[in-house]
Amino acid sequence: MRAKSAPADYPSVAELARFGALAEAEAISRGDPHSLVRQVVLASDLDTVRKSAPGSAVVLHPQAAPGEWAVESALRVAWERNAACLVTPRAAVSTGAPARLAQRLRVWLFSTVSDPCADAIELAAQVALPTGARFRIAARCAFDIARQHSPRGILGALNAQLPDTEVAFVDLGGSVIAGRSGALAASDRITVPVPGPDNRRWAELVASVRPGASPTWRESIATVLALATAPLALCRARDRLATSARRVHEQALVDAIVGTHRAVARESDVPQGESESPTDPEAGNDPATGLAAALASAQELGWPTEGPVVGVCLRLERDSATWRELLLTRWAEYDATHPLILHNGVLISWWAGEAVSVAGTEREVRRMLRRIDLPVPVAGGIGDQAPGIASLAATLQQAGMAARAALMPPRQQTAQFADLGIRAILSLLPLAAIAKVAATSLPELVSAPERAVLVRTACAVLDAGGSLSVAARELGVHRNTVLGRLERLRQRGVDTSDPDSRLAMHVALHALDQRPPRNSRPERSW
Amino acid sequence: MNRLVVGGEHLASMRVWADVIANGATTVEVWHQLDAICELVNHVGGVTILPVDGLRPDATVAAFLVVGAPDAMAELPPSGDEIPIVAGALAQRIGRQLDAVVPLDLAGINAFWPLAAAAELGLAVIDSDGMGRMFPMVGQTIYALGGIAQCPMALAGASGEVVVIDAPQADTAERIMRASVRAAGGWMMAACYPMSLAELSGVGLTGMVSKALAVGAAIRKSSDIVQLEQVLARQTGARVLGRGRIVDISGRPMPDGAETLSHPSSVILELFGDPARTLRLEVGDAPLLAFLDGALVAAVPDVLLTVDVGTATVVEISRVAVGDRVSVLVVPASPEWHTAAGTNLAGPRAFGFPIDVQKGDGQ
Repeated sequence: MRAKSAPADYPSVAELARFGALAEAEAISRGDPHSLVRQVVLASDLDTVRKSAPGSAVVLHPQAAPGEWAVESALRVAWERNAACLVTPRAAVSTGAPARLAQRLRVWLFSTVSDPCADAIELAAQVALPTGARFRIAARCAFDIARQHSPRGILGALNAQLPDTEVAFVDLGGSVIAGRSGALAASDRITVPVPGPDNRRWAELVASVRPGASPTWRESIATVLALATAPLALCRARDRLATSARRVHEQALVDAIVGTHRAVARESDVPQGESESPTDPEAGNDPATGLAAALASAQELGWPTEGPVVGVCLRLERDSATWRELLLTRWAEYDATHPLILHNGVLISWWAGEAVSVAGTEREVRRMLRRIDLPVPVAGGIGDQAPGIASLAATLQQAGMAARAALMPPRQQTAQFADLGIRAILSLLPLAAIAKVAATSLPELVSAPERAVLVRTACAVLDAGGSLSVAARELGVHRNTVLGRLERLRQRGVDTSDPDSRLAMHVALHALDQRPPRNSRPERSW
Repeated sequence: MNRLVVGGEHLASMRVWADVIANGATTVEVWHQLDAICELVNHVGGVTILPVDGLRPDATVAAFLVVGAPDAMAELPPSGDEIPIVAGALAQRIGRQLDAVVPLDLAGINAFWPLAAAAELGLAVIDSDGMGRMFPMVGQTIYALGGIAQCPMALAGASGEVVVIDAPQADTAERIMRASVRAAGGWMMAACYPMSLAELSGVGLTGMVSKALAVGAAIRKSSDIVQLEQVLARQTGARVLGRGRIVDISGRPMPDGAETLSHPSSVILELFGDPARTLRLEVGDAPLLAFLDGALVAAVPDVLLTVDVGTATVVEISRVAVGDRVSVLVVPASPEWHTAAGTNLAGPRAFGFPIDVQKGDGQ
């Protein structure tokens, strides 16, 4: 039986095994995935196999396969003749010996229960017109892709259905998002751009092409990849929508739990230009009903709501939507139990349960921050332990103050509200505004080259109640050095001994001490 | 002239060869008959072995053997009269007395029945062999290849049954013979292939009794598998197909139209070495074909032997088990068997295998 259309347009064995006439046959052994079927031979004896041309798919008639020995003989001859594959009646194979031999010879061996004559005829038809089989591939891929809901699933379907082909889904930077990275190493590849929801190119599908592939096979791959682009774009849009919707829902839930009148951060705390989270108007109308409903929803989400509660607040030294987004994403990756939610401009969470403790929560938060390893400093504040979820607002407020204090010198990765003492008051001051006024009132100090040293020294003296010895010890310098610096401060209009201006000066210098030097790089280590 | 001494070294050597060439198919029950034969031979003072030219050319000879299942003799022992009865029946049919006895084959217990017949009848044994190996059918002989008719043949059972078959076709004779054997209890003494010594000298495998004694003696001196392989290679031209472990034994569907006499099966060995190659034996009464990685490397009428690697003894193929370590050897059959007529009578197709030995197979 002989059939072909164009010289280079032959289907591969893998292709026929996936979608063609061999799809129903059992592949007992797999050979070269790139092996092409150039013709079909229906063999009723071993001599016919001996006369088969290279690249033949040899179908053994039961007459030629009275036992395993005959199958093995045919295998051997098929291997010597460089046949593409051998198809044997299943009844002729009873042990694993033919499979072992076929594997060692790297010959495709199929067993089938169907009529060998019908198999041979169908094979010949598909060898003559491989396009038909390839349409089947496209149809099967389209069917499988439609059942997937993630890039990973779609790429899995592509790699499962496209014979002897590797497919990868890569972003524009060349990183593999899903699929097999082997596709990128192939010498011959087909690349299909994948548009994002905004119709701009945001990724690519890359498929390896087997050596010597025919134009129609290349076309088949390109068609199948094109079929996958729209579902991939849809996945991305769906992910974005899902993330956005989930966050809005969580923010509303937290609002309902803590109550808008007990918000963690005051209006003054919210940096200008940052968004505010939406609030649930129903919760304000009936707090008791709103809280109960919110707690039920929170439990559905798996949030901890039972037992004592410890509030947690995270603050970024340089707050920006990008860093905040990254922090939210990584937190969600590492901790599915404790939600991190953007609430009134700050990021909050909480630990709850009978075994919860402030120290334990702080350890957990430190561990999380180490794992998240954000490129910008993040400070964690831990509130006092509250008796229950109804007191969440109070402990979150404390956590907010602690987080702000943790960002002040000396910086800490985390701080407990209980350790703050009077510094808690300073943490609530609008330090940015005060520093602005101080810079205007003390121009000579602000413009001094050694401004940072002088401000730190003045703060240390005022913190020590005017004691030069204590300040010198705190700063790690000699007492005379402190004296000299105080003299230079006086020359720039700063007198730490004047009782009338001491309080205002202390606050102003404290605010100035928070401002990082211009053009300095943020510290990453704590 | 060679004269065998009962219980002597010659008989022991003959026994070794008979077991090897039968591929270990002789059972304990069969060997029990050997004692009776030895006693008989001893009683008459020994049996004379004559070369094919040891008598006048027109002397009449016939082959003596037991047909059917030799094991059945354990349940239905010979009466002792079978040999003179069968000899008399054949002589009466052909119209002349027998002058000597020839072996049909020198495999298993049938290597010894000609001795018993010679002792009982007071005749000599001609140094010849009709098979050079063992075949399941009486018609599969060098004598038949040479144009000697199997019939008339006489059969005698343990209970006095006498059957004389004179059929023009060998396969018809075979069928009548087997039907008679079944009716007589599983075995019968047979005398067949009546011929003159002149005819025998033209077709028989002359000198085979002497060769069997020599090879048997050499095998008895070998103590391990390497020595045994060397002896068989030197004395018979045998070659080793491989040593390995049996990994699978399975039944084989009966080829359409095949008249095999026992349950066909496949024995698969994984040969020692890296990569481990697969040697497949297709078995009927004995191993008939050997495939190494799917390539035919040995086929009937050559003799395939399975030898236990540890004990260096031939193991009957029906007694091997998965896990056994064996060496597989092929002993070439006589050139007469490799002619077109020989292959037609005892080649793979005669055993139901639709395969022909190609030039170069087994090299």
